[in-house]
Amino acid sequence: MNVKNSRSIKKLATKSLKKSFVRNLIAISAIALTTLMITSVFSVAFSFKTASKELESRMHGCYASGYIDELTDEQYQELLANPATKKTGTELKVGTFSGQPFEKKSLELSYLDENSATWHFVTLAEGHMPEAKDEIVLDKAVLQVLGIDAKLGTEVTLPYQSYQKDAEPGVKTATFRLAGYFEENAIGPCHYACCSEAFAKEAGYVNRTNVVTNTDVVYVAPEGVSTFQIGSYGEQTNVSGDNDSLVLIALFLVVIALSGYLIIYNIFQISVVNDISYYGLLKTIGVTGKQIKKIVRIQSLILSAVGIPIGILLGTGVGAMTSPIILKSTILSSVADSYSTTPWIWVLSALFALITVFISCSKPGRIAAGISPVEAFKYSEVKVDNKNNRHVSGLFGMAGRNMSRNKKKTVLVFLSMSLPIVILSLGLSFANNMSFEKFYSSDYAFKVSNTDYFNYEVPRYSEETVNDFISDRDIENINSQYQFEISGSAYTFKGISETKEGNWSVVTGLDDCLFDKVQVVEGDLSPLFNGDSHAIALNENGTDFQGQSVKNLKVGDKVTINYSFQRVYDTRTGETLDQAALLNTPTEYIGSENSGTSVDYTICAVVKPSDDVYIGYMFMDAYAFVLPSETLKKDTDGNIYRYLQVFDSPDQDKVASAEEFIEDYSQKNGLAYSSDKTERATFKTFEDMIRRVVTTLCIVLSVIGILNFINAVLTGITTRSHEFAVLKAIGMTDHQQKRVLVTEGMFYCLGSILLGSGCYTLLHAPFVKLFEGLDYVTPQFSLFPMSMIAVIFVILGIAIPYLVYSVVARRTVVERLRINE
Amino acid sequence: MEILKATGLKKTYGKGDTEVHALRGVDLSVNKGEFLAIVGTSGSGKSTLLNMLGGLDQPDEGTVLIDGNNLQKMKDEKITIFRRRKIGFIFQAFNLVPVLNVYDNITLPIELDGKKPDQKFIEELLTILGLKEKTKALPNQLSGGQQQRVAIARALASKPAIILADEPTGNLDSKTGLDVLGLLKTTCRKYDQTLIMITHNDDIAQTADRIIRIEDGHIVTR
Repeated sequence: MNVKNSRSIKKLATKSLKKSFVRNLIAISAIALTTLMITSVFSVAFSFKTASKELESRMHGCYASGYIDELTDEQYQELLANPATKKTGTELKVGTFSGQPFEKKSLELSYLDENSATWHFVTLAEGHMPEAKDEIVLDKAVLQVLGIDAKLGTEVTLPYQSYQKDAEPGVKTATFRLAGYFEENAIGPCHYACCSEAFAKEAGYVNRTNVVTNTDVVYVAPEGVSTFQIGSYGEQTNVSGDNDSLVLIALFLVVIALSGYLIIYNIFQISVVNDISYYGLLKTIGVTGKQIKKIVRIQSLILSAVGIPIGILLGTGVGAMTSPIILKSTILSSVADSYSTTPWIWVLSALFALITVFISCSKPGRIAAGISPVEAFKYSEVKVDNKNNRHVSGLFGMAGRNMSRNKKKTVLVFLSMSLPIVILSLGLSFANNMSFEKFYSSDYAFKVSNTDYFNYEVPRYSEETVNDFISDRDIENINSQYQFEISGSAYTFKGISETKEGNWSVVTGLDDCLFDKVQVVEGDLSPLFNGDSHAIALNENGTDFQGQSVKNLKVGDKVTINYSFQRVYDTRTGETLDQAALLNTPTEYIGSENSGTSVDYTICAVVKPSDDVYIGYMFMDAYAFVLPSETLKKDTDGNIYRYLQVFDSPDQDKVASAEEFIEDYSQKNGLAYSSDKTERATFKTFEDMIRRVVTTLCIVLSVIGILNFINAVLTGITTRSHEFAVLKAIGMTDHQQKRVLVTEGMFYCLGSILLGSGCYTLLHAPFVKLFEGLDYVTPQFSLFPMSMIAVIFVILGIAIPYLVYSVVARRTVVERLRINE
Repeated sequence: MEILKATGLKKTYGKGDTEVHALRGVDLSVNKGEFLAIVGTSGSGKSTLLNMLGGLDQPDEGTVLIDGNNLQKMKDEKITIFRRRKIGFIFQAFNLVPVLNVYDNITLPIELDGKKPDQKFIEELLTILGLKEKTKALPNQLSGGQQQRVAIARALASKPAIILADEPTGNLDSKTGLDVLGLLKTTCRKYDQTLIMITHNDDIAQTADRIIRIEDGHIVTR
């Protein structure tokens, strides 16, 4: 039978909702809080995505999806007509320069139209884009390199080598007036110098069309265009850790949804139990269980309608504030300001929150719906165990007996309150016992190289053009300020080095002064320095290509190492293929050949060089050898590059005073360095992060635990309010009743503390074993962190029953007695 | 000897339109060992009177003296303690503590007072009330009549000065009701207890030493 009664159900739902103002307030706050957390996680997640994209674009210097050079008008029209084309921008490339002082980051001289300028991150801090022929716009870093004040109208002379194919080779110069400047795209591949269109036309240019496409899909280029590069910007970048952060975010969402579920569930559970006789009454007068469920659902919907928008609003704010902080601690730190404002955040958060609310209300709804009218009046959660009828005496006995009324609930409280204790104890036993001295010890005060080296970026192989990571000039500059007693370089071959058998082999060339810190495991180093001995030292840190440590090589063995460069060419024409050409060449026509030298060595020693100078991490699963740098240079025909320079001095005062200079010098010259101070900072960040994660997790879990406890106490008291009235009538004073309740509360808390500390004690040994591999941390057993939670639990264990009972006791005994009669 | 004396009891619930005058000036005196039945229609004020005599509710005006103690001069906590020593309550709905067995329910008021129950006296009560075999049973394992007998034992256990019963047979069928009432009367006689009982049942009221009828907040017959 289908009766139109939804109106009366709605009326019942809204009317009974109005009745419980405080409950509504708490429920709305809980829903808002859950939504807030969900929204902030989503906005951080989306900001992550935006920032990754931003980082990718910035690293490539351009936001566009790709570019095409030298389009004819016809081809350009075709490009515009293509549905995948969203926007295009013109770039007239005049020239480039990569000599002094732009050897680290080249200078690109181009005319950029409005779109292209935006996509190349040219956002003027002051001034205007070039209009007159001799006007120029530069980034602040260029101004600094050239030693020019950021003052509009200043004269600037720039060198460039023309891009035009038929232009005369050689460096030209042009003089401009500064029309504007902008913040450097610090991680971009080059500096942009924006000239006027008139200048470009006069000087000659390559016409490049930048294209932003609607999709990531590579689409077919206009016919006859061979340099089509859609998708080529950003193609090689792979912002690693992307998947990890997705998993982390999913995990966060689950934890939040779970805690939100527990909070909201608890509130509805309490309110349903409170109103149970009301639902019983509704059933008596003919409201079906299904309709009662609907009443609960409508109520939750109304509460969500208020709570979710509040949560989204606050969450967006919190997200906007936390995103930069979180991004800063990741590899995306350079683009930490990018923040996503896509409406998807709100849609997804609202949906997610609503689902959480519905799931949370379903069980309380079922309880309300399942109650029989007669039971409803007697509902007191009492499921007295008929076997448990032993004599009990005193308030203690009563409290204990009361707790066994609802065993499931009691166990839940125990578990959820002991979990944060265990997590905090374990987490802090880790975080508090990390030792910097064991984490980092360096043989040298300063290690200086470029940022790639410290970011563990693998250098490009097989390129004769690889530059030293740190130049001779830089070393001279540093040593001229502070005459370091120890100043040595580590080198490696620019191309591919492998044994005759095909095992990759990293050959490290060390300056003589660095051999002091090379530990000899077996054999003797002296043959290395003996002219034509062709001796080599085997680094025991090396592994073979299966990752197994090197066991098959020993002192006295002969090894042949091939030092070679690989050339990729088109088998049809024999022409060498560069990256761009490689993309347009069918695979069957791609050929490669190796050229180089091979040297026979005899292993004279097995060594363990200082960790500081070893670059094994750059070459996984490779043999590792050590040679004096001079020998390596000779054997490779000089094709080596310096990847690291170390400085040290026995004079600690000198080391301390040099720190600031080296830091400043590195920053100004595109270098990076590491020292005790920088490592300590890294270590501290790491330590703090673990502490923060542990405490946050612990707070969330504690809140859940405490809520479960409050729920247990609250339902325990409200459902027994009649019983308490009876007890008072037969002479149990308020004081005695509170004592029973407080004893119950203490049982919950002490039980949880005992359970938690018990579990922690049991888990301590396996936990220590888990981190055996990390030698910088030895978790120590300590009950101190737990005692902080214990104090809070004990206070709440006393306060909550006390408060709740006081509220219940406000109604007179007579009133409470009458309820059930 | 006068064990209870109530003078000028007045009680009004609510305000304005919803004002209900539950008691409009009640004077009552009960002697030790007396069995008093209070009768009256629903809403006449008899439960209010009984609650006031037991200190569960406070009158707006007037005083209640039990065994010479003025209930209006005591604080709530003190009244509660006084109640467990001097007053035994028996309710229509039995109101036993569900988690405690028969024996623990009966001795609860004594233990709340921090005293040792008089073992011999409790045994005697259990025998008289026919609960000897049930001492370890929990309330939900007992019939209604048995539960009310436990409630009677509980009311008597601390040897109070006065027993207040609010329709003790109201939830029982008439045969069981009469049995329980018989036991209640017997035990009260045996221990020289004063019994004040509300009832709807005229037959039961007739067995009392004295009947008072309350109508509209006044005592109309004595």
